[in-house]
Amino acid sequence: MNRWSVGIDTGGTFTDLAAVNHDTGASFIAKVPSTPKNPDEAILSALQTFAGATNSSLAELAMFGHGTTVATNALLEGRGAHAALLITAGFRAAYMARAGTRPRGADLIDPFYRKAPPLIPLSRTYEAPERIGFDGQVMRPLDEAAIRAIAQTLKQQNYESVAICFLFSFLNDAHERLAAHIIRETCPDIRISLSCDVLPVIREAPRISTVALDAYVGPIVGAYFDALGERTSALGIDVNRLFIMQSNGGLMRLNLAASYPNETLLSGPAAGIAFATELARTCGYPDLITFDMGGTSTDTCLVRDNQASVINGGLIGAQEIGTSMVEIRTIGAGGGAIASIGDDGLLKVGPRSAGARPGPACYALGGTEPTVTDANAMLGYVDATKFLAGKLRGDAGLAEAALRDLGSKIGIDALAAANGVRRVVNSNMASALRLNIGDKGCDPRDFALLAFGGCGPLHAADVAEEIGIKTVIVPAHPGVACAMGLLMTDVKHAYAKSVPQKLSAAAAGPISEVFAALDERAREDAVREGFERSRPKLLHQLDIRYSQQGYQLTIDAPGLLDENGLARVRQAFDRLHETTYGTCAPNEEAEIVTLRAVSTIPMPRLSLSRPVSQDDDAKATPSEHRKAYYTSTQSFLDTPVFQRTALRPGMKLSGPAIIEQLDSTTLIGPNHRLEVDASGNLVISI
Amino acid sequence: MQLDPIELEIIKGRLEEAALTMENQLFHSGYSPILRESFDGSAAILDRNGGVVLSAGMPIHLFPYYYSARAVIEIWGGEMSPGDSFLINDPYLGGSLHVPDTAIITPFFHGDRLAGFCASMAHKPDMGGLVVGSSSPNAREIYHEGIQFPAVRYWSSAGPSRDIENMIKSNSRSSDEVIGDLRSQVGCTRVGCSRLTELFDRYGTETMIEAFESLIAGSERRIRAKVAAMPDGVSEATATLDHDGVDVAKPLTIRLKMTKAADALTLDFSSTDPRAIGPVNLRPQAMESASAVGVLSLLDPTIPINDACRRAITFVNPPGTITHAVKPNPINNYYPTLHLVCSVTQTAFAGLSPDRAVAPSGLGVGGMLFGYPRKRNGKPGVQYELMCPSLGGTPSQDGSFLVMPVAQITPSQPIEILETEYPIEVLRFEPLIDTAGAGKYRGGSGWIREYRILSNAVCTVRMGQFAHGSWGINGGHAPNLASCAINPGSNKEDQLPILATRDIAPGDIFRVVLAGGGGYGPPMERDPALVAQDAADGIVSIAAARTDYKVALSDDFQVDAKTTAILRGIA
Repeated sequence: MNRWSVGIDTGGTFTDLAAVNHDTGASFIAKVPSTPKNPDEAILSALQTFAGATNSSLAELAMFGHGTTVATNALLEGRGAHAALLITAGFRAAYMARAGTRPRGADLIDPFYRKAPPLIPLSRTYEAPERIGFDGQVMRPLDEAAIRAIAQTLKQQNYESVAICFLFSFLNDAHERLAAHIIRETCPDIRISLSCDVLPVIREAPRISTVALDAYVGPIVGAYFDALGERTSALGIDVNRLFIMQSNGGLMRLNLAASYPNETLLSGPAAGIAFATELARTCGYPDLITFDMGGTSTDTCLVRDNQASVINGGLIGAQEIGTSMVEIRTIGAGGGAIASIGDDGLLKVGPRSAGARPGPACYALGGTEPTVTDANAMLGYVDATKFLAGKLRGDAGLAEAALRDLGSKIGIDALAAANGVRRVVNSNMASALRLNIGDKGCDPRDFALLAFGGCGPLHAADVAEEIGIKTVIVPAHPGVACAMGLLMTDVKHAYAKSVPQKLSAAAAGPISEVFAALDERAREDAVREGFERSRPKLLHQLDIRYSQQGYQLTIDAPGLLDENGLARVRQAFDRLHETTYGTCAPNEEAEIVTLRAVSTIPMPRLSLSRPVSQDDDAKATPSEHRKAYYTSTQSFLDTPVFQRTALRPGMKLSGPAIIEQLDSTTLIGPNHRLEVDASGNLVISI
Repeated sequence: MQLDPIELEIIKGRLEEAALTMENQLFHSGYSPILRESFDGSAAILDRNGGVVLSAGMPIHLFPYYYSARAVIEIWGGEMSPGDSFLINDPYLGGSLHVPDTAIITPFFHGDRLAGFCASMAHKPDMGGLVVGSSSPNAREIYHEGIQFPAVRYWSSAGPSRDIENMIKSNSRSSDEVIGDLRSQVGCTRVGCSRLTELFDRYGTETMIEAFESLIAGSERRIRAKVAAMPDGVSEATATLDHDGVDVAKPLTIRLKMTKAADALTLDFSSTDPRAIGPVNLRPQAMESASAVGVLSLLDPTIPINDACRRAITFVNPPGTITHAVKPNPINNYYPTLHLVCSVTQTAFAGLSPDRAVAPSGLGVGGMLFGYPRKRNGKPGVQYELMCPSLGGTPSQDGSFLVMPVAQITPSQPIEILETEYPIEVLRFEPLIDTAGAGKYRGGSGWIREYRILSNAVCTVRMGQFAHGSWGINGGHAPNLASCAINPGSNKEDQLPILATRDIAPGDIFRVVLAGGGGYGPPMERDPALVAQDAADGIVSIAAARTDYKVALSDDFQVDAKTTAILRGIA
């Protein structure tokens, strides 16, 4: 046998492939340029590269995992479907008001301040005469004739999709389903998104926003997955083995993906978190914070006790979304971040980015503004002649010229400017990381920093030192961590339904029936994905709040209705409130707002903990020496440069040192030490 | 030593991080829903003289911080020690905008030297006084508006003062929440102090004090440079308050004369009408904050708001007017007046610098409370909602819909949460057609919200400007007026004044209408395609498109170019 699993992550610049052979343990990685107009072209080319290089048959793939940016790009670039919105009559302000928006900085007073525009404007919003009350009772029956008339309009206007969101439909879905039924009679081909399916959760504004997103990206995502299925089938791949990464860090089978387009909005970054979680688990770093620094931005996520931080709602592309997703925070600074002198006369880095084109000045593609990468080239950390996996021959002289120009505005030379750019961007990232960690009531010193992305390993050690983190981990292939993450997670689905009620009276409420219904949806989806009904492992959760509070915390609630089950959940809630917010109120009444079921089905995984023969006496030999500048010594030091391929588990060395590999460069500062762990990770001690 | 532009940027980033950490801590550990849900709080780092270096949260707390810290310095001076935190909410002694806004001022010592302050300010659910929430339309003296603390030592190295917490227990209707919030305010300033300690240890006291000064001086330089670039001149603007809070037949006028000479800006409010009998007055800190926000919003909203505003803008504001209440004038319903001051400032500024003009937001901002004997869960409760108008048009875009003026958050009270918690039914929540001030760029639309109240209740309205509305600018039109009514259109109709308390019977309908933003520029210059889109969106009627915008639209919102050209006189 020669069974491979393949993960392909579509990025803005490159499409990355990671593959592992389940029989031999061999692995393979590749990068091909992305094809943003037709992302599947790059995917096919990566697959062909893989098949050729490994001499394997695509028909025999055990699994093909995919991280996509199709939905995200459609959203960010405003290329969604021609969609309509149908809401309860009388509530046209509920979506456009964007209640709960809290701007920062200049937006607090700027008369030009704008909230995120609705994805579906008022002119395409239709009103259904109907009303369900707070207790789920029908207060005003759905006017079926009015819906039939609206259906005619939808047909005439050639809508591709319609989002339906009625008040309190999470308690009584009859009107939404009846409206959908009537519309389908007139418009059999229209894609219909119902809020009672997409997000049956209390609070109308995020629910409308979420279902509108579903209608907006759904047709685009559906078309993409159809095409992807066809084109990969043509290569002999069994489409039933094609899985899509979701925002929640788990996979779903391709045939389900078009039904859950919102789940693909964080597909790529979530794969990186899946990778981090697996590394946390298998390499013995249960508490870590990810540091994924790319060209334009840096993503971070907290992993505690091997679990990635998850949120049940947030913003994607400024649009409110209520689905469950890994909690990724983005800092607007990457290798391409542009340095400039601000109106206050101080040195700023970002948030503007030179992107891939023209890119940093030293790429010699026409960019003239100095970037973080130019600073790194000037300081001797990266070799400007070996950019983009050696495919781009840059010019360090151009970096120096851009930095000289910057420095002249504040009376310093190019070197001082380069060092300043690096210190400012590192300090900004350190602040952002500390805020993220502090928000969870955690101390940065208890975490390891996991660096990946093209630029992460170049900045991680300095950022870690700044915030008191002692250990930095650089995995074997930091540039393709997301592609690898696609091979390191389970099939996972989350289901939710709001049923507000007192926690203390939960035993008398409809909790069991609601959980049973959620479980049933999970089993139905498992069957649609080709698994046995009994396969999903189901975890029940509750969103709980104190009376009067406007937000909830999610608590695992297995065996809720067993003896002491309620008391156990109550204690867990008070405890989590205490750790998260510093206080709790055990005497205050607690309320259940939303019930959740999380379904997981294990998949074969790429292992990171593959034992590798260890040779404690082996000495690494540098491939060259380079002059590099360090803030701590305020001088250039002769720095050995090692090729990553030459480093073996067990090897140790002291900084300063530079480790080069095709997909990234790692910097070890003068006071830092490096050891290669048994799994081949670089472990830097600060 | 002179801090270089790299070091200062790094220190600035770290101070911003410290302020954000303080603010997060405040919102996360606070007890009361009003703090957590309405974001009505802030945190700041002050220099040793009480000047704000930087802050996170409500920009209008700028002057309140300064006056509160000054009071602490004057009263306690050399007696302050490490571990102390002072509580002050007396709007006449310190800087609170009204009594429920309590300030915690914690001196920061590096070694044994006073090097600055960490401070926080947050709205409390109840500080006593005539009604729940402490802000009564019937207040005629500050003494009706709750218990005032005059820069007392709330916390020392020995912990919280039992005396003060006991006084709160005796005076507040929700003392547990108040004490919980106060403690978290102290907690957040302590986090700030520990962050400052790290920075002072690393950079040294002198360098950090220099950094504080440089950050303030940096903002001042930017303000003065922008002012210097404007032509010298004098500009006047006025606005009228509906009434003095008591007598509906007695409108009051705010008059501003703004003088720009070289790089200095002087705002003279001395011709403003005498202070009101009702609680619609401002303390100087409220007027100054509103004016500073008004000026900076047009000058350059990216300039960090700090003590530079106090240095770069001169205020002439003699005591005894609406913008300078004297003890014991009541001030609890300050926000609508503060908003009006901001709009007047923006309008006067536009007279000096027409290229930077924007139309003011709609008027009518305020709060609305329904007190129920029983909520859905059987306990008594108060439903509190903030009502916000829309922003005005600008030279390049329409005004945003439904935004709190002066501090542009969007408060959140989901319909599904309201109906689940209170005996109320929301009947409508919609933009209201033809309410946006017409213009080349129109204001955000006005809107309507209607409730049916299902039980007995007492409703209190604390809003502003139902009689005198906002205005357009550079040829733009005024928007609609805000209003509140019980049982509108019936024989029991009751049109409410801006300050009112009413008993509600089961089944009563309550309607609130908020104003759209003012229009910018002549409506005739609006792109007909945008008018057509507004009509399709239900924001502008086909009739108003014709009369206001001179755009002829078909029934399906297509522009009739020929007729439009005739209407616009360009055929």
